[in-house]
Amino acid sequence: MAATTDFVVTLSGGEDTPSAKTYRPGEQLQGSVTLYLDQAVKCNHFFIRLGWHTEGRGSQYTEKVSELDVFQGEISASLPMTQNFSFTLPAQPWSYEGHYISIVWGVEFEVDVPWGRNLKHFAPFILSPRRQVAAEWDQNFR
Amino acid sequence: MTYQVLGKTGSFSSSRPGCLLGFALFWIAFSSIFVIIGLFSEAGIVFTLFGLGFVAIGVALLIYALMAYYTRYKVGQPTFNLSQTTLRVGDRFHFSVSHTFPRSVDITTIRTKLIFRERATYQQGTDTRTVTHDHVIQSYDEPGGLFRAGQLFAKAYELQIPPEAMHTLKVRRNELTWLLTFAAEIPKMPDFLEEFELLVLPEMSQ
Repeated sequence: MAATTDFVVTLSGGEDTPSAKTYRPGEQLQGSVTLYLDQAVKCNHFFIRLGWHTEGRGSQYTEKVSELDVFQGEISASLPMTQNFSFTLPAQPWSYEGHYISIVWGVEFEVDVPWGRNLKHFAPFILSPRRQVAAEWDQNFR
Repeated sequence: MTYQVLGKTGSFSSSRPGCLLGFALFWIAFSSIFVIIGLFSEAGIVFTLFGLGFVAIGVALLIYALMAYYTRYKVGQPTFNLSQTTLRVGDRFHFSVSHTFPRSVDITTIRTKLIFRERATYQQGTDTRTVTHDHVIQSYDEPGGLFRAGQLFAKAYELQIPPEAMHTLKVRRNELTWLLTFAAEIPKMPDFLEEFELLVLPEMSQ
């Protein structure tokens, strides 16, 4: 029987915004993930990936920016496992939500289980530069 | 069509009717094969009529392409000037057009638009479909009228990539692009349309 998993992700730094945390291009994204399992699981790899993908009408495009392989071995059910991670965010693409296309950034967690269904979790965040939406723009161009 | 970028004159257009003309001719030639087979074989009248239907579609496309060429012949070749085509988010830039009409032409409206376009391609069964959505960021309309041969039309605009906007992004089957379009609407004819693609970098204007 497949294990029931609970990933608890904490992203530090960034700026708290209503939908998700916002980070600036080039900023350091740090965080931790704690894995709670209801039964012991043998793990070939525990990957933590930084990446982005498109959502919407177009066929999905996915890009993996960075990948950490943080653990191999058996994950115990009695003892939650915590792993810290850190990534330097790239300059682009910025997060975007449009009519047909959205750009979604996030950290993906994947436990590679031999001969079983991999355990996965995705923690989204926003990558956006500091915007100075000048009142001048509204006056002149809207 | 010519335009100037940072003092250099170039040539660019993504809206010429040549592709449509070529496609229409290919379509007619290909569907004519079925008509010929129908006429000179035992396939019969049904096969011939089936082929003629496709030929008619090709002729309609050909007429539309020729009308688009006629529009270009009537309007002539305006000179466009773009201060820059590589921009950052929040950047301002200038666009100007000047034109001496070679022939008299009746124009309804002359419209310049800064557009942010989303273009998504997806698979539906065995078909590949593409949808586009244009966000019109800025639009300038100039009144039309009868422009006589030798009459000068000249306009200059200041435009800006909004500070809260997205940069250009082109990945497989998903495109976010910036365009500057210039259109002259002519009654009962296809529009005279020129599109200039702008590259907006993932950087903020200082």
